[in-house]
Amino acid sequence: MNLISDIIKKITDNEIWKSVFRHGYADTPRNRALQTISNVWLHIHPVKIPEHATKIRFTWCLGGITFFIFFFETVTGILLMFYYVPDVNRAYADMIDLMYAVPFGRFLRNSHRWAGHAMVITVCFHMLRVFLTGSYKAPRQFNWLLGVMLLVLTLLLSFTGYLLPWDQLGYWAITVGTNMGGATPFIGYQGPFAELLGVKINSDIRFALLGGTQIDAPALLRAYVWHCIAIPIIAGGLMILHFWRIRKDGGISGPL
Amino acid sequence: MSNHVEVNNKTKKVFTWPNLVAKEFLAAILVTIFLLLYSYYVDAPLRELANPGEPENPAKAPWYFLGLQEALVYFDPWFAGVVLPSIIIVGLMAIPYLDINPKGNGGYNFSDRKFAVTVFVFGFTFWFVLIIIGVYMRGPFWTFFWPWEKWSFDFPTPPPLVSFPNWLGVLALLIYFGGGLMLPIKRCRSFYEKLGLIRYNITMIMFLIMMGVIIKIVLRLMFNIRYVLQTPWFNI
Amino acid sequence: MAEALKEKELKSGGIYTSRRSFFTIAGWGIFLMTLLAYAWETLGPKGFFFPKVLFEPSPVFPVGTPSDFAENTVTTLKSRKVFIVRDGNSFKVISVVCQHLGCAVHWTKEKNIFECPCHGSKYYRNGVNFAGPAPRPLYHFQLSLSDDGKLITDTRKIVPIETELTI
Repeated sequence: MNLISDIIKKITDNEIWKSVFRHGYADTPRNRALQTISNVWLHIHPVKIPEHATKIRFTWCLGGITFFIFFFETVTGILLMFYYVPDVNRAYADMIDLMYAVPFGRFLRNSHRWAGHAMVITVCFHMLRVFLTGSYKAPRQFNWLLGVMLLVLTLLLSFTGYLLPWDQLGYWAITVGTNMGGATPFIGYQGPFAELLGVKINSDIRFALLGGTQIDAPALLRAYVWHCIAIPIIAGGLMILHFWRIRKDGGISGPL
Repeated sequence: MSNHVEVNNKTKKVFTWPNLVAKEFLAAILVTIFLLLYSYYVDAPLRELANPGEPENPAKAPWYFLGLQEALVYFDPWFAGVVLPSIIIVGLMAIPYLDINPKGNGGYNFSDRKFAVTVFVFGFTFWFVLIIIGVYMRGPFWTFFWPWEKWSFDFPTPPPLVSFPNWLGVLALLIYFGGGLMLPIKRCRSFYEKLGLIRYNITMIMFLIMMGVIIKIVLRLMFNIRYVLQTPWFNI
Repeated sequence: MAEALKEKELKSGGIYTSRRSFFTIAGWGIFLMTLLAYAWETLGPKGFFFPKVLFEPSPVFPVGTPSDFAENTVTTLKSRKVFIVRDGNSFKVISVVCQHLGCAVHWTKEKNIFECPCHGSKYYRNGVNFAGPAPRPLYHFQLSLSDDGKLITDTRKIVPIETELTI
C-alpha cells in the first residue's frame, strides 16, 4: 500500500504535474468548485446549479447529447475525409473502398451516418422538451430562436452529407433539393415572379447551389465544402452563442 | 416580465461537479455504446451508383425528409418546397414572441397552457405522421399502399385531377381565413384580448395555414382537387 | 460653442450634427456598405457563386436516324435524358425531366403514360400532366433533320407540345 501511495506521490508531487493540474483531486468543496472554474471545458457550466437541473427527467440530457453527437460527427467526419475525394468519378468508388478495403472504414462510415440520424432525432426531441417545459419564455426567447436555426443547420448538414456518396439516394436528393431552390419565388428560375427580376436558369439560386445548370462535378464539390467546412463552422458559432445564452439568460430554466 | 434575470434564492443548489458532470458523462458513454453497437451490426445504406437517367422506384429521401417529400405531393414546389418550410421555421422562431403566457416557465405544465401545448404537439405529431406515411405507405411511383398490402406495379392509373373554379376558390379562401380569424374574436374574446391585435393575427394565420395544409391534403385524397386557387403567377 | 452653433442652426431651420455623431454614422455607413459590396460580389447574380464558363455536355446533339425508331413507339435515351416519340412518320422529343422537381420520369408502356417515381406525377403520352403534383407538361425540345439524315435535338429550344417533325 505504501508503495502505491509513494508512486502516486512521486508522480503528482512535482513541478511538471502541478503546472498542468492546478488543484488536488480530493473530494472537498473547494476542489469541486475549482474543478468547474479552472477547467476550460467545464467552465461552460456554473459552479453550482439548481438541483432540478440534474434530474434526468427534466432535460433528458437531449441538448447535451446533441452536442456530443456533433462532436462525434466531427471526429468521424474528419477521419472519413482522409479517404473520400469529392469527385463524381471517384466518390462512389471511395465509398466502396471505405466499406470493403479500408481497415475500420466500414465501421467509421456506419457510425458517422447513424450518428447523423440520431442527431436529427435528439435535436427534434430537445425542441419538444424545451417547448413542453416552457423554457423559451422570457427571458429566453432569443435562445429558442438560435435553437431553431441550429435545427435547420442540422437538417442542412444531413442533406449535404447524404449526397456525398454519389449514389442513387444522393443524386436524386440533390436533384429534388436544388429544384426546390429553383422554385423559390423571385429568385428561382421556375418560381413565381421570376420574370420580374429577370432570373434565368443561369442566374438563380439553384445555379448558385449547383455551380452549373446540371448536376455534375461542381455540385458535388459545393455540397462537400458546405458539409465539411461551412455549415459546421456556422453551426459551431451558433452553438457557442446558444450555450453562452443559457448562462446569461439565468441558467437552466426552472420553476420560478 | 422584464428581461432581468431572476434569481430564486430558495432553489436548492448543488455542485456541478460531480452531480451534473457525472450524468453528462454517463449519457455520453451510453450514446457512444449505442451508436457503436448499432454501427457494428447495421450497415449504413449505400445505394447503386448515381444514374442520371433513372431514379430508384420509389425514390425516397432519408426518413427525416419524407414529411417534406410527402407534402410536396399535394402542393406546387414553390409552396411545399420553399414557402411552407419557411413559414414553419419562421413560425417556430416566432413562438416565444407570440406566446406571452408567463405560466409554465421551467416545468412540464399542460393545464396552464392548453392551447400552446396542444397546437405544438399536434403540429409535431402531424409532421411525424407524414414521415410514417412516406416511409411505410408509398410504393412504386409514389403510389399509396397500406402497410399490409404488397407493393406492385399493378395499380390503377389515378383519374385526372380537377381544380376549383376561381370564384369558388376565392370564396373558399375568404371564408376559411376570414371566418377563421373572426370566429375566435366573437366566440372567445379573452383569447383575442390577451394576445392583442398583431399577435392574435400572426398566431391565427399560422394556425390556419397549418390546418389548411391538412384540409388541402384531404381535398386531394378524397376529391382529386389539384388547385384551390389559380392565378397567372402561382397556384395553390 | 457647439451648443451655440446647434441653437443657431436649428433656429434658422438647418440641421445640426455633432462631429462625433457624424463620424459615428459615417463610420458605420462605410462599414456596412463595404460588407454589402462583398456580399453582392459573392452572392449576387453575377458574383463568385455563379461561374461564367460551364463544362457541361452540349445542349445540341444527334439522337439517331429516323429508321432507328420503330413506328408508334416511345424510346428512352437515358444518357441524353430524352424520350423519342414516333407516331407514323412524325417525331417528337420529350424531356425525361419531371416538371415537378426534376426526377427522370418513366415511360410505362402498358398504361401509355409517363410516371415519376419521386412524387407520383403522371403525364399522358403527349407530355401533358394529369395527376400528381406536376404543375405543367413535360418540355418538348426542337427537333430537326440534318443533311446527313440524323435527327438533331436542341434542348435550349422548347417548342409547343403539338410540334412534330414529319419525315
